[in-house]
This record gives sequence, structure tokens and C-alpha cells, in this order.
Amino acid sequence: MASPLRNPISAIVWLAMAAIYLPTIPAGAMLIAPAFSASGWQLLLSDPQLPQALAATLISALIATLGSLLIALSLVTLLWPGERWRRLSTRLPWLLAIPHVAFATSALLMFAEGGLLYQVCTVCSPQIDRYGVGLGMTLAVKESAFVLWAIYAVLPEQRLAQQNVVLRTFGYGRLQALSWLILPAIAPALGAVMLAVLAWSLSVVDVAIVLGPGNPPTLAVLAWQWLSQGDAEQQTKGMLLCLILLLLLAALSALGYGAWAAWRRTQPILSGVRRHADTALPARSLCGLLPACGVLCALVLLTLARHDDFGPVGDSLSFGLLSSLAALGIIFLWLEWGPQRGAPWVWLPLALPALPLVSGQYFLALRLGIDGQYAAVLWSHLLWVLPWMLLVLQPAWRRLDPRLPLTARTLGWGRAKIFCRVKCPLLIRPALLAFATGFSVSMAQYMPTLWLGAGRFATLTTEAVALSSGGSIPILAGRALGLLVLTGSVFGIAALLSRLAGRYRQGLR
Amino acid sequence: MLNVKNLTLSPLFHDVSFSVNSGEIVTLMGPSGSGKSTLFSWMVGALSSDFTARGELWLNERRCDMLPVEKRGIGILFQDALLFDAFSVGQNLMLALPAHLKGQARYDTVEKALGSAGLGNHFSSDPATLSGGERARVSLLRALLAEPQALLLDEPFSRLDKTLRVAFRAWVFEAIRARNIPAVLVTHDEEDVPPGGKVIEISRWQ
Repeated sequence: MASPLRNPISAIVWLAMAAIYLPTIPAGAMLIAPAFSASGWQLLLSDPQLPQALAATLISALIATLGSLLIALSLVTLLWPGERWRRLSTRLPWLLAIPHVAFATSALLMFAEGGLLYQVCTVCSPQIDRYGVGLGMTLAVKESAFVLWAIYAVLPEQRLAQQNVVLRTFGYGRLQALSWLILPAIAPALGAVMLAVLAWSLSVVDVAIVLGPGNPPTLAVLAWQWLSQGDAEQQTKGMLLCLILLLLLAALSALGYGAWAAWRRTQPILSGVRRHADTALPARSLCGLLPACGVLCALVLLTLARHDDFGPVGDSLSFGLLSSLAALGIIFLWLEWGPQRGAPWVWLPLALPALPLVSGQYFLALRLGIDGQYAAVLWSHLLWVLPWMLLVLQPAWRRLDPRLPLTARTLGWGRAKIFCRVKCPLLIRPALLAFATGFSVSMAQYMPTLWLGAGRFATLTTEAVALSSGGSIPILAGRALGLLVLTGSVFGIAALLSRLAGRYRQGLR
Repeated sequence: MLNVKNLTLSPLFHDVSFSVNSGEIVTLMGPSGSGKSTLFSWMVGALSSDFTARGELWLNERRCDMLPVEKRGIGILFQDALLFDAFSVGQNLMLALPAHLKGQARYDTVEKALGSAGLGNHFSSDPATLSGGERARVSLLRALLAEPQALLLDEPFSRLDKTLRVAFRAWVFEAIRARNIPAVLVTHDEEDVPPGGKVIEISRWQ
């Protein structure tokens, strides 16, 4: 343990983490400060846009959260365990790897007035959407892939499958197996995932600009608009809105938890009544539905995009590659030389609305005079890239067999050597997946890129969002397609390399 | 009576038939990997798609191989007790009881079953706090309370210590005979074979 390398490395990695997470402190202060100004609240509450914006936010966030949960659980109920469930896991990345803005753009070009569907059948195109129903539904489909992916990660296979057989031999159906076996087994992880989905859909700005209602928009977009304006009054209003978003998140998650606990107390129903649906559901076509959404999204963009204009690919690519590479390095060092139990605060950016955090980053950047610089944008992306990548890597790190480093130590190896020669190589496949995830998270950053870059750095995401309100359709589709192609390629290359590693050393599979 | 007719379970074995009378326990012997558990997963209705099966399964003049798991009326006991972790011991047993027992009768039946197994005051215990032998007993009670028309025993004794094993085995066989249902036991240990019971060597099928 007493390796000479330990302390300096530990200090460096703590410093790096502190630099990335520092904005959470001014963010907290900026949130709290205006809360005590009565005039600020008065100003906010008298704003005529507030009631409808609140309704749109609640409706879209609830549809997105509950809808994604419903889709994911229905698929689990129908397909698990079995061949189709496994097949879905290999095709899920088709939807998972699509950036949100690209997916939203595709939905916009398909369903909006004048979109593809409108041209084919004017009547079946949806009506004016003041309450963010379309936004919620699009997010529900997109997020269901994420929820399913998380369920794949935590669903214990063999033992639960056998318990499932036992319960079914008693005559109980799939829904009863879901509520008595599957849900209790995945509940803690599923709760955390749903919290992240709720936080994200409450506070999403980029997708809401593309798909959400326009005037008034959702609360998050309204806050974003106010915070982007210079004068102090609007700033206060914007910050108070962020606070409201945070309170909404707390209230809704408490409500969700309460509902779960109350439902849990009614279970199991001990009357012994067996319920099973006699209608055979088309499990096969349902299994293909989500991946098909991803393919459809790509097709729509391919059809509409101009093929000679690629947009700001360079900046997007370099931000994505550099930030995920930096995060990968920091994460590996953090896992080895950081706190052994992990630190709960690293997950804050996943559970908190992004807006106040970006405000905190901007505040720091202004103080340091680095706003508008390339490095500042890169730094701002890391606050989201890093926790998402950690989310992928940490479970794999924890699963490492502790006997391997022990064996290496009996060979007389030092900690640094064990880290480089034993642990890192074993994690090559999760590291590749984490890298691709980090890249896509960086590609998706909208607010940090605009603010920290002071508008000087255009990425595919910022351009797609800007074009979505009445820009040229071929260019808009082109930007979204660019997003999709870049993210898809990085995921594809990561999968390819990962497969190669598995072929070269089968133990890494 | 349980009947397996002309079962081909590729790629494991071809054209296998056997039958088990009510109250009889037939033992299938074979080394691990010989397809015992796969045969059981076919009989119970949860065959993995890595295998394909052709053949018929009859239980008391009713053809079962086309029915889903929950309609077959066949119970199964695995190596592990597989109690449902989220619920208490009593709740585990209550779930197995058929719906025609109502109200207080359900509770009384479960209490009586627990008493008969020497687990008198364990109704509200957490399954995780039981010993291995206690869990095994609860698991059998649960399988029997569901009133199955046939029972499959998938090496249910292999995880128990030698001392527990003898007593538990005798108790299981007695319970099955008392219910007068057909039962199939798979094992790789000759000591598990019930006295005087029919034994089929799986290797003969291959």
C-alpha cells in the first residue's frame, strides 16, 4: 500500500475532480440567494406565462417519465426471460445511440405541420400542442431505451428466472411475476434511473426548444431565456424558476416514492387469485418496435438531409473526443486512487437540473476570464461526461476479481504496476463503451457550449437547435444526421474494437 | 399418471418415452450436463430456445406440452430453495395456496403446514434468516400447498449437509406418497434413490 506514487496521484485526481465539480458550489449559492427576495417572487408569480409553462412542463415530464417506465416494464413483462429478451439487448443500441436532439429533430420533421406525415395525410397530423404532449411522448420513447438498458444491467438472470418458473408453476401470470419478483429485485436501481429520467425531462432545454410548445415554452426553456438576458431582474426570475424546477423534482420524486411504498404495502395479494391474460400478444413485433424507432429516425433524416453540407463537424468531434478521453483518464485514476467507497456527490449532475449547474459554470468562467475559450467549453462538458462514463465503468470496476490484484501483489508488483498491467487491461471493454457514452454526452451538450463558448463555438447540436425554429429543413436534417452519424460511428468503432479485444483474449468477454 | 411420449430433445436425446404412476417416484440418473435439467425445463414449460423439442407430455389424460407453464399443474423443486425474497415465509406459502381456500382457512392451512414441518413460529420470518435445511423444507411445503398434479425434483438434496439430507429425503418421499401424485427425481447420487423405486439411466438414451 505504501507506494511512493500514491499520494501525488491521489492529490492530482482529487484536484481534477474538484476543478470539474467546483461549479456546483456557486450554482447552489446562486439558487439560494434570490429565494429570499420577496420582490423577485412577486415578479415571477405575476408573469402571465407561468401557469401554462408550468402545465406544459408537468405534462411533458410526467408523460416522458411514466411513459418510458411503462414501455420498459411492458417489454420486460412480455419478453423476459428468453431469446427475444436477449435479442432486444443487442438491438437496443440502435435507439440508445441516437442523440436526443437528432431524435427530436426527426420527430419534428415527421409530425410537425408541413412535416412528412402532414404531406401524406393532412388530417392525421397532430393538432397544435400547447402542453408538450408531443415532447413528452417523444422523450418517453427515447428514454425507454435508457430505462431498459439500466434494467438489463441490474436484472439478475439465473436465480430470478428459476423463481419465475416456480411462481408460474403455481399458476400465476406474467404481470404477477412482474410485481412480485422482478420489481422487488430491480427496485433500488430502477428508482435511481427514474429519478434521473424525471430530472432530465423536467429540465431539458434543447429538446424542448426543438419539440416543445413555443409561446409560452416549458419552464426550463423560459428559465434559459431569462438567464440568457443580461438584466438582473430577469436573472433573478430565471434563478427562481430553476429553484421551482428543483422543488418540482423533489415533490414529484417524493410522490413517486410514496406511491411505490403504498403499492408495495398492498403486495403480495394473498387471496391466491391467479391472473393470466389469455390473449397472445405479438411479442415478436413489440420486440422490434423500439429498435425500429431508431431506424425510422435515421431514415427520415437521410431522406430530408442535404448531402453536401456537413456543418461544424470538426468542433463537435474534437470536443467529444477530448472530453471523453480526459474523463476516461480521470475516472481510472479516481477509481484506483479516489475514495474506495465512492463519493455520492459525483452523481449530482445526473440527478440535478442542468440549468443552475451551467449558470454556476458560467459564473466561474466569467470570474476567471476564460469564457469564450476552447478549454472552458471542454471543461464545462466534463461535468456531465464524467458522471455518465463513471456510471458505465464503476460497476465493471467493482466486479473485478479481488484475487487477481492479490495474486499480482504476491508476485511483488507495486500498486501502480498492478493498476497499469492488471486492472486497466481487464477493463478495456467497459472502457470502450464508456468512451462512446461520454462522446455522445459531449455531443449532446447545448447550454454549456453556448454559454461557456460565448457563442463562438458552433456544434452540430447548437446549430440543429437553432435551425429547428424555422431554419432550412435540409440543413436542419443534415445537422441532425451529422449528430447521428458521428455518435453512431463512435459507438460502432467502440463495439468493433471491443469485439476484437474479445477475440484476442476470450477471457475479456 | 405422468407420461412422456416419443420425446426428441435435440441435440440431447431422441425418441424417449417413460411413464410415472400416481404415488410413484421415478429417478433419472446421470452425470451433470447430461440434459436432466433441460428435460425438466421442457416438462415444466420453460425450455430455453437453444433446444428444440418434439414429443408429447400427458398428465392424467390431459395433454400438457402445448400449455404455458401456469396451466400445466406441474410443480418443480430446484437445487436452491428459491423462496421469494421480498416476502415472509408465511406469505411465500400463502401465494402457493389455490384460490378456492378463502380467508381464515388460508392462514390456518399455512400455519398447520409450518407446524407439521417443525417451523411452527416462522410465519413472519424473513426467508433469508432461515437455515439451509429450514429453507429447503419451506420450499417443499410451498410446492405441495400449490396442489400440483405432478412434482419434478431437480436435485433438491444436493445443497444440504449429509446429516440433514437423510431426514429431508425421507420426509419428501413420504409427502409425495401421501399426496398420491407422480414425481420425477433427477440426481447424480445413488443414495438419493427412494427405496424400491424405479431408476432410469439417462446415458441409455444417448
